[in-house]
Amino acid sequence: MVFLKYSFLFIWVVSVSAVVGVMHSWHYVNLSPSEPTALSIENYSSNIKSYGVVHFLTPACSCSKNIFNHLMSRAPYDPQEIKETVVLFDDHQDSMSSKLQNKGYEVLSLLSSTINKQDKGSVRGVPLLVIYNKNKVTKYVGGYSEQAITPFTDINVAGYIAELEKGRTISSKPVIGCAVSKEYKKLLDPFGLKYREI
Amino acid sequence: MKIYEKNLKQSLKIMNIAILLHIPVFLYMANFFDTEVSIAVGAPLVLFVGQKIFELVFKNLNVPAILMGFSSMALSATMIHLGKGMIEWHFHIFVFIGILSIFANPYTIVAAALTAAIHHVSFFYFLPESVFNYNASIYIVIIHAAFVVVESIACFFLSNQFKKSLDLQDRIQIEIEPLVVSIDSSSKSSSKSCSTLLDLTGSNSSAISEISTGASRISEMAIKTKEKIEETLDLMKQTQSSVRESSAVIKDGESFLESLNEIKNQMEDLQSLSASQLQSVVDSVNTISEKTGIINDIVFQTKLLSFNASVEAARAGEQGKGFAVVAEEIGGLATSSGRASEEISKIVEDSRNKLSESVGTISNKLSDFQSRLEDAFTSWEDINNRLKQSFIVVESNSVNQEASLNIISEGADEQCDGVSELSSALSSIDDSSNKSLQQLREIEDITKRLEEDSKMLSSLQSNLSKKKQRSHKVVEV
Repeated sequence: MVFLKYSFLFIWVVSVSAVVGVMHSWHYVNLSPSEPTALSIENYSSNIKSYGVVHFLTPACSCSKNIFNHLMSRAPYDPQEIKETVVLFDDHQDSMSSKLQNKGYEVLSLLSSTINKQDKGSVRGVPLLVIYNKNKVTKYVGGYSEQAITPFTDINVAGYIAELEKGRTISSKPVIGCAVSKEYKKLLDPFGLKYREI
Repeated sequence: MKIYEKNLKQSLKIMNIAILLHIPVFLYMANFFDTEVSIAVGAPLVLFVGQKIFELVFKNLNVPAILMGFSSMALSATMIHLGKGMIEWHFHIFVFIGILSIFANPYTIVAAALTAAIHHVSFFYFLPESVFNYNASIYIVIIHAAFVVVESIACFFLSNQFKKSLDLQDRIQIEIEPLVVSIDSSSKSSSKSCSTLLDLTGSNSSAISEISTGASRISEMAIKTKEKIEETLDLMKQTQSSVRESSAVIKDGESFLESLNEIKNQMEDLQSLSASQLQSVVDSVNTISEKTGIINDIVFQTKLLSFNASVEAARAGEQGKGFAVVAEEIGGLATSSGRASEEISKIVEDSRNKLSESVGTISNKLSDFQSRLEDAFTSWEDINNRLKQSFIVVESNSVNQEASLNIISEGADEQCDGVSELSSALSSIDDSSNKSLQQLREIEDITKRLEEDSKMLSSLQSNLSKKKQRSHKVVEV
């Protein structure tokens, strides 16, 4: 009887720990692309004059929502200098696309299930920021901050471009947010607490 | 139940409530950070239910207390998740490790610290970049862990000391209980004695108040009595004055009576004088009357005879001339009679004068007497009025004196009552004082007992201090 009691206690502790571990992994797992160079600009944008900035977002992700709010809080950069594109995954309800277009952003809506196999390894999670130069060379691939994006996070894309213009390189920041592919979703959320469409 | 177990039970209750109180905070966080509402509500509920189940399953409260260390860290993890993993939410871990000290169970702290450590070390090994979002070395992890370890050691020590303190309280309770019972009993007795003393003091106070009131009343009554006596003295003085006046009036009355007596004598004299004078007058008048009658008869007969003689003389002519002489003689007699009559008239005149004189004298005397009598009567009336007034004053004073004496008598009665009440109150004070003395003796006994108990407590405290010092030495060793 005592053994059963303590076994029950042990199972309880392990179960709670597992759930907590899974929950925390959502905020700590770096979903940066496995092959950053594989992200082809032609797939998302064209006619880059000086710099091309591509934001990868999905409406289901709260971190993406914070980036969306940031984009809506300002106007797109000067299109003569910087071409800013937003790639939206699975915007089924059109909760972001129209608003961004109305604001002046170039929007490309995609379904996560139709991503190119080549890009599938590249775009593991959102929000993802990719900056190209006029030669369509990838200069930055990564997240917007060292930590998960919250309403308190200072998003400074212009600062990144300024740094690149000075000829400096920017170390990639982790992509902490939501998985895009079903495989990753299942891996990160085995209990179905976050990704309900699983 | 021991104090330590009571503390465990109470601490579990507090922490369970604290877990539930996180729900509104978590809901707000989930809304703000756009994280899962289901986790905000579900996680605290699951942890609360789990705690409750294990409190029922394990009779030994140490087990759910240790589990609370784990549950608290799980709650902190939920908060960190709902806050999108921001490092700031990790302060919740530090706060809760501190709060867990209330259990007085060092193993609760150990459970919490181990949970946090295993969680972070596991993440470090399985997702190295995830812990700090950069390639931190194990040393960085150790630095971070060091703070948790230091806090945990401090809380471990605190819990341990707290547990020792609670155990000590248990021991003190066991050892002190008989003393407490004794002191309680003594205190109750003392309290009862004090209540009795207070009651007695109250009675004394009441009696003293009554005495004071009685004394005041007696004083007032004495003042009133004095006033009444003074009034009575005044009335008596007035009565005395009235009596003196009455004496003077009586003297006046005596002199009045003397004057009346004198008047009476004078009147007697006057009466005798008047009687003799009147007798004389009567005699004279009688004489006159007799003589006058005779004279008148004589005169009448003479005149008749003269007339007859004249007549006869006339009839006899010459012969009658003798008769005429006779008649003439007779006429002479009549003249004589007339003379006698004149004499009588004189006598009558004298008598009348005498009588008039007597009458005037009597009249004057009588007028004088009347005047003096009127004066006497006026004087008597005045005396009578004065006497009446004096007697009215005396009567009024007598009535007032009677009333005053009645009041004085009543005052005296009240004074007697007051004195009786005073006596009763003094007797009551005497009784109360005796009882107070008795109660004071009882309190003295109780105080001695309390003193003995206090010495025992002091000895016990000394022993406990020694035990505490020994335990410190053991810890140091």
